[in-house]
Amino acid sequence: MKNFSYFIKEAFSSLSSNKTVTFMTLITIVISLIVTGFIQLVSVNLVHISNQLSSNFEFNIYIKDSVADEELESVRQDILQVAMVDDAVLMTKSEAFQEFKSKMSDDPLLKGLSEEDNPFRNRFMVTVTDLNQADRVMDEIRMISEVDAISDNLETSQKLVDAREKINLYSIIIYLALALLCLSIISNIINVSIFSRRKHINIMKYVGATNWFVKTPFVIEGVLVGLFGAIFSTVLLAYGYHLIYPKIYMVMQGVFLIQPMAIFYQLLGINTVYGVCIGGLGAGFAVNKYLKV
Amino acid sequence: MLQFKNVSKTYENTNVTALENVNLDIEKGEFVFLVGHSGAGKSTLIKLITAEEKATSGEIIINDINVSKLKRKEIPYYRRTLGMVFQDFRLLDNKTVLDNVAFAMRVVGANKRQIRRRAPDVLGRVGLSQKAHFLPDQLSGGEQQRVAIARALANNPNLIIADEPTGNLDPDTSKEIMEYLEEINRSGTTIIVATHDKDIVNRMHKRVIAVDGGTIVRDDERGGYSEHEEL
Repeated sequence: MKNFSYFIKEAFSSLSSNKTVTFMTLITIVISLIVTGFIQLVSVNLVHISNQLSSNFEFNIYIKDSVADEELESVRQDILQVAMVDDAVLMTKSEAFQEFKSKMSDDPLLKGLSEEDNPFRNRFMVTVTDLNQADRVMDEIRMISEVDAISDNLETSQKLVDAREKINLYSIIIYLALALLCLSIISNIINVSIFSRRKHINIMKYVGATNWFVKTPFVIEGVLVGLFGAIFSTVLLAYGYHLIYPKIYMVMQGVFLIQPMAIFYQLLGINTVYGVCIGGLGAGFAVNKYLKV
Repeated sequence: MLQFKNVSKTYENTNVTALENVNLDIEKGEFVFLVGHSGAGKSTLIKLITAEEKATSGEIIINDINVSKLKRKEIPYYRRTLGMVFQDFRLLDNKTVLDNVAFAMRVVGANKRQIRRRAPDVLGRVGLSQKAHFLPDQLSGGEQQRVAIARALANNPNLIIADEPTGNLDPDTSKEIMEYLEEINRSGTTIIVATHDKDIVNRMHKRVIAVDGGTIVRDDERGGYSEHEEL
């Protein structure tokens, strides 16, 4: 690659001699990456939260009253046998009654209500490994003869699953739309700088430069600006997230966001790919117009 | 070395026929003037030679290359066999004289050693060794055009095309530029000069090809500028 040092030199000298354009391109990339980075942070956290919720999502499996207490453990084993059941925790009817009573201790209606009048049933609180499959799992559990009923919160679980899929889909769509918008803005900005260098390109073409040779320094220039923009915007985003993280934790108790450091490299990686592609492609598209000599 | 066979050129967007059925033969080592009014077809003829435009019909063969059939990708490699000189010099004003010449060599893939050896040499041929490290705008118009000639020579082409090379220069400097071109021609390089400069054409007694209305109206072995071709 005897031309490599030439390309790098050209790219850097043009970066410094076209400061305004370099700066404008950089700002555009930084702003766009901050917006997309923000979307990324929101979406991964929403997915993260919905994962937490779904791993804690419990189905109540009510057991027929005819089933004796001694048989409950074997019912539990039957439930655990069902594929994708994560855990089944027993809540006996007396435990349920005690819990109820302690919660409503002040209620005058409960006065005189004794264990014999216990309206509760024995139940298992079941969690599943994959909420998407909850429907099937519950159908299978329903087949167990001792099972009386299953609390009908499948709909809620389905909503959670749908929400997660929608978040992913929408964030990809917004992401791509912003990428295209940003590409066209950057291509136009770089176009301004290339317009001032069209004489240069023209001369290169007349002395027999290949399109590839003309284009490469511009593309390297765009890639470098994209890279700087990615690093700069990631640091800004990470710093902002670092500041917001403890505040959100205070407001939404029990809900954990992804830790700032755990997401930093992912953010940096995606931003770098995005910045480099947008910068390089933007420059490439912009030069193309001037190559037809 | 240069052959036009029934070449016609019609510009698609304007539907203007710039050249019609042109036949032309230029031998290796010739010095040829291309004369004619503005709009006579001179520029189109040059653009066809440099592959900037494609002929609508006919065949153009230069240095055994069928220029009319060149693919877009092949054009850069073809252009390396030509040297080009323009009225407005077209130098890179942020590069020194030496770098302008070196640049043309770098573009075609010459290595540093080749550039170090050849660039000063071609500058010497146009008498600019002393000004190698000047920037173009520190030079006179004539000197700038000499840099352009040196650049055209850098890749050792066997055909140099000069499009109004003296158009921006005073008569004395024009004469000087033509002397350099004549000198280069003496060493075997074919030279085609498109010009309006009557004095030069009349003085040098070279082959004159006159274009008018898109056709060749005159081809004199040792001609001058005829009255009706004046501007």
